[in-house]
Amino acid sequence: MKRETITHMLNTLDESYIGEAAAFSPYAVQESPERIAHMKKKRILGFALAAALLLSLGMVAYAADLFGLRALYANPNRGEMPEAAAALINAQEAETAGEGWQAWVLESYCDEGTVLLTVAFRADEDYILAPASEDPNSPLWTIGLTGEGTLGDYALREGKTLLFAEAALGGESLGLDGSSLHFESASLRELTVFFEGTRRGGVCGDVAANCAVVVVPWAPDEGEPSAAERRSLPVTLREGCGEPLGVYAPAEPMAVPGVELGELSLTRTPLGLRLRLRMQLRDEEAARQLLTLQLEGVEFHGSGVLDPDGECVFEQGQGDFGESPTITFLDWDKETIAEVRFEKIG
Amino acid sequence: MTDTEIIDLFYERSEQAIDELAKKHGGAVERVAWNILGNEQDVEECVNDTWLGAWNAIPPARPSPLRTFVCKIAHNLATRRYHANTAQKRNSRYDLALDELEESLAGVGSAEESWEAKELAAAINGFMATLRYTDRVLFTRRYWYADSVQDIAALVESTPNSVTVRLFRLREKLKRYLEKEGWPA
Repeated sequence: MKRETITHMLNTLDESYIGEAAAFSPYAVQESPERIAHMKKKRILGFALAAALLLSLGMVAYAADLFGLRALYANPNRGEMPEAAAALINAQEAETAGEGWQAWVLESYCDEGTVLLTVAFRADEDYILAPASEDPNSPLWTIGLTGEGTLGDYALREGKTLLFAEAALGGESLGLDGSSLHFESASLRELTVFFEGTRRGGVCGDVAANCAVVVVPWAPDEGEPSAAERRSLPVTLREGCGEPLGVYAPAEPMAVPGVELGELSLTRTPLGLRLRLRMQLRDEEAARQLLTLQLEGVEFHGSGVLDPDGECVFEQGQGDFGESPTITFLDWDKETIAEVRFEKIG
Repeated sequence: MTDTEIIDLFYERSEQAIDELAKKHGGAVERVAWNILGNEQDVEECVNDTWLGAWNAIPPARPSPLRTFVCKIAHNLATRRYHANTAQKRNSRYDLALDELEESLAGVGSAEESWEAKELAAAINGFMATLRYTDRVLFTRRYWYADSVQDIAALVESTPNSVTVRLFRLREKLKRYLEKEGWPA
């Protein structure tokens, strides 16, 4: 087999594996029997757990007010969460605690293409909570502080231990394609994680999932972090039903060089329009020119995946595409490659 | 600055977007390019092309996660440049990674390379789906990111020997998987 063929094979590796490897944390390993790394013993204090459970009710209300899912969803680009979606936000009750910290799953939203979740962390006064994407060399602004210096410097000066935290959703029935995390610090001891994932669902009912919560203490005068604590919290997500708007066939299936266009499906989810378009690769070199697509009259605000040899999925579209949707295909210079009209077939 | 805020800067067409993107994810992108190209000048050009690619793609794309998105652009640009530099003597980490895979897959397919490439693309993702988390990370870090065995060992808190053995087993497993899927041995 030629080296070029192997390279091509590697270039088509699914993005979820690339992202997973980039964000690898030995502390987040799920399969302990297969793990080659040595994992230190977890430190779990029963007392801390009991104390955290007693405190939890007040904390949930506090964190939800400050950083509710609806508030964290909104940004200048996509604006506020649509009312139809906000009405489907569920309060969650899963919680856990460890030595000097507690975590609560606050709220969730789920439809066939998107899943959102907020998780709040609170630490005791000996700790400073920070996003797990940071490390002791990260600047102070990563936890909302101004001024020069690093997290490690600051923690050393204050005589505190850094507590890196993260949370993520998983589970086979969730059908997760990709995800991102956003962290909001309410104070040095309070942190909210906003999880946003894309998924392939469609059950229009309850979906079982697991929320993995990981914290890693790191004393600034030590070169290595202490043993991580990892918890898996079962959560039930209520998938909001989508409304199928139609299946459409392209008027000119070969209009885009290098690919053959297939069926277009449009669905109205509570967060907006969901577009799914099938494509089949015909000429790889020609298809490389293809960067993205736009549906006339609609602006997509969620993540978009364009696979020239599979299914393209664009989420959270706002606007009206009219009777016969028209898709414009753009190249890497944002020039139009083709404009294709689709006719309803189902 | 968060990824969302960086993407918002791209949407505003602010050139600060590139600065912030480079500040936050420049290290990861440079590492991908360096592992594949192993040449300072090529790496610098590849990294700059990656920022240009991101600038052209966002908007309308709103990639998530952003780091994966830019690393993928860098990987595609770097591998294209790598194969274009056929006259150059190669000595990058990617050479070693390709050598390993080439040796394991030496007997697999040879007649219709272009058809194979397409089929293999589907096969490799099928193979990855059969692996456990750590194995997927090991395979991806070695053969996609082209990280050295030593770096991977440090990442997973293991020894280079353990990682080497594990990678060997993964290549054997890949070979068996391809054979089972109907690829000629």
